[in-house]
Amino acid sequence: MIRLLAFLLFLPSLVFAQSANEIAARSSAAHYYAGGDGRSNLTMKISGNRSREMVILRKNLGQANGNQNMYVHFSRPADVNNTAFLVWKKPKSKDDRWIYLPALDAVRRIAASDERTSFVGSHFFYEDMSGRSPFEDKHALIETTNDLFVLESTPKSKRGVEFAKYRTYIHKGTFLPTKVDYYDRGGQIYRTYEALKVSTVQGVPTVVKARMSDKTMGGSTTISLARVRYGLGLPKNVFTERSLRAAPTEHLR
Amino acid sequence: MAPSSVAPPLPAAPYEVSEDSVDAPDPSNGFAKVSGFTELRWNTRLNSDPFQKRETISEFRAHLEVEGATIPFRFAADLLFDDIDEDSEGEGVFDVREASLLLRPADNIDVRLGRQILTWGTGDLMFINDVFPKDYVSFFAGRSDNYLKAPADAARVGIFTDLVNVDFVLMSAQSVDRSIDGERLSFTEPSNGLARGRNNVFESDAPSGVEYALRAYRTFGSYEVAGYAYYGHWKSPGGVNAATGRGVYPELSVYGASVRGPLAGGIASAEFGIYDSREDHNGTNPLINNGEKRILLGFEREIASETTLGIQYYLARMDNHAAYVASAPAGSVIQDENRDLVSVRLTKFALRQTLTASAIAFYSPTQKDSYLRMDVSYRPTDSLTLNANLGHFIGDAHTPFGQFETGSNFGIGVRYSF
Repeated sequence: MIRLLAFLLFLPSLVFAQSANEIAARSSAAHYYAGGDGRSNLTMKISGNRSREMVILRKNLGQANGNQNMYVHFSRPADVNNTAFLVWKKPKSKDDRWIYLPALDAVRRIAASDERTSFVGSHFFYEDMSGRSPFEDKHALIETTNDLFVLESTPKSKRGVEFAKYRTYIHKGTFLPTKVDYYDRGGQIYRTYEALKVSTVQGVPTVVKARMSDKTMGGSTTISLARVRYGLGLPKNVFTERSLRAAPTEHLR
Repeated sequence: MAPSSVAPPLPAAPYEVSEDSVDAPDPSNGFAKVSGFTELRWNTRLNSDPFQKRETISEFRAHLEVEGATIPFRFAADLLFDDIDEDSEGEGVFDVREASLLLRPADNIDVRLGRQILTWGTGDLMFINDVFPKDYVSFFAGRSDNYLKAPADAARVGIFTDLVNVDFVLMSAQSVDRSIDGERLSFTEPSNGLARGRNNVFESDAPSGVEYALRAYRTFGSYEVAGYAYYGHWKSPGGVNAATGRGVYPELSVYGASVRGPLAGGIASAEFGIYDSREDHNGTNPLINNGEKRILLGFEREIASETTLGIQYYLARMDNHAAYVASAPAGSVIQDENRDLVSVRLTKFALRQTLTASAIAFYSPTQKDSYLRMDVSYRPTDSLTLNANLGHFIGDAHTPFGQFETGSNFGIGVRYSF
């Protein structure tokens, strides 16, 4: 009887210890892979009175946290109007990335492999836009409250990361991250992601407003999503060179 | 077993969760979207040239782009107030860069009709299978890289299938390069060694008719593979009319292929092309370009945060060089059989990408001439761009870059975008 009680007492901690990775995977899936495919208008307000406007199309190629295609069409500011960006995300190998420069009709392949650099001059990195694979870090569940799981994650490889660890506060109901704090090697928080507003679109909880603050860069960027739609049945051939040269307007509306 | 609280104060309420769908009015403009810029640009020569003005660029440009929403047209034009161009005498020149319509006759066919910029191929400022018009005057005189491509009057048909994609272009033979003719940059006419400058500009006559260009391409995994064919004319004057001394554009066919994809942590590319100068197969006509074979190898990689290094190797080998030398008239500049180039480009972003600096150096191991191009742009606001640029030619007078030594220039520009 005592043994059974002891087993039952320890059972929750066993369950929790295994599922830090599960929680991380579910959170990544909820944030970056919801709905199979989707579109959204995204506006970035970057401190220093700068802004970017774009439309993003996404399509999962298989399971959540797997390969994914992303197409971004920029409209503002004026000098990036019709610039487009294409990513074939492959968590298990290297992404393929292209940029289209309309003034030159040039489809350029992007050599940059560093994903933790500023996306179009904002405080969000490429990796923040496309999603950091949950398999790249070791996760530990360090705290649970009524509403949140708190995960602490450390990178499996120090290459290409500037943080020592990060803590994610994941909402239990939606599995969306509400806050992510990045810690430097001195143990100080130097960068923070905050979800400011979540809406449920077609039954899918979606972060529609978020902010990334970065002390090393100075300032912050706030992103707002509008006209979010899921389950569009986007064909795979939308994510090809064709869409770079001629924007797929029927999907961008 | 309860973990001690290690976290800083948790967010009070996670966030605002609402049940409504996110619907905002469609931000796309009703009929058309208008954008553009105004720019002031000024480039001055580093060395003096008795046959030229001190400036290579001295202009105010207004660029306007109109893009239709419901009707898929695109229109772009520049209004130019140019202090250098004698013809316009400060009145302003209207340059239509784009005037096209995009049609979709079937789900997998795009057709763009009208004036447009066309580009394909794998090089960085180097072209083998892209035989579409270039603007060498703007490029070397100091205008922004965007002006390297000149518009073509064409119909571009794109057919997209899972097996292969095909681009088919019909282009007007009148759409030729804006090539250096002596107006801003002095040069040496190869066929007779004559110095050309502002006082004796080299005139040429573009052919009439239609030219054809084809590209068949697809990706295999991460690798982009393409085959090309072109049937038209040389796009820069490739010969001289014996009677008039005016430039002509002889017939040209180009066949080639390219591949581009990831390698060693960066992107590698290889492209080759066979240039068949159809009017002079034997190379015995001294007034018409010989054919040649061209190859271009490239590799680009990020070497530090926001810093990219690109290197290229280019070789153009003339066909029938012996016949060319034997038939070359007295006084002409004899070209080497091989024209090779190595280029190195370094690009750096800083200050959250508001500062862009890029430098590319071309050097020829055979002719020993070189061209250095540097560009620094700073955007203090989203609308304003400040630019400083340099173009420097080094080499013997009869080398392709060296002949432009007096054209070496440094410039600044201010652009306001709206």
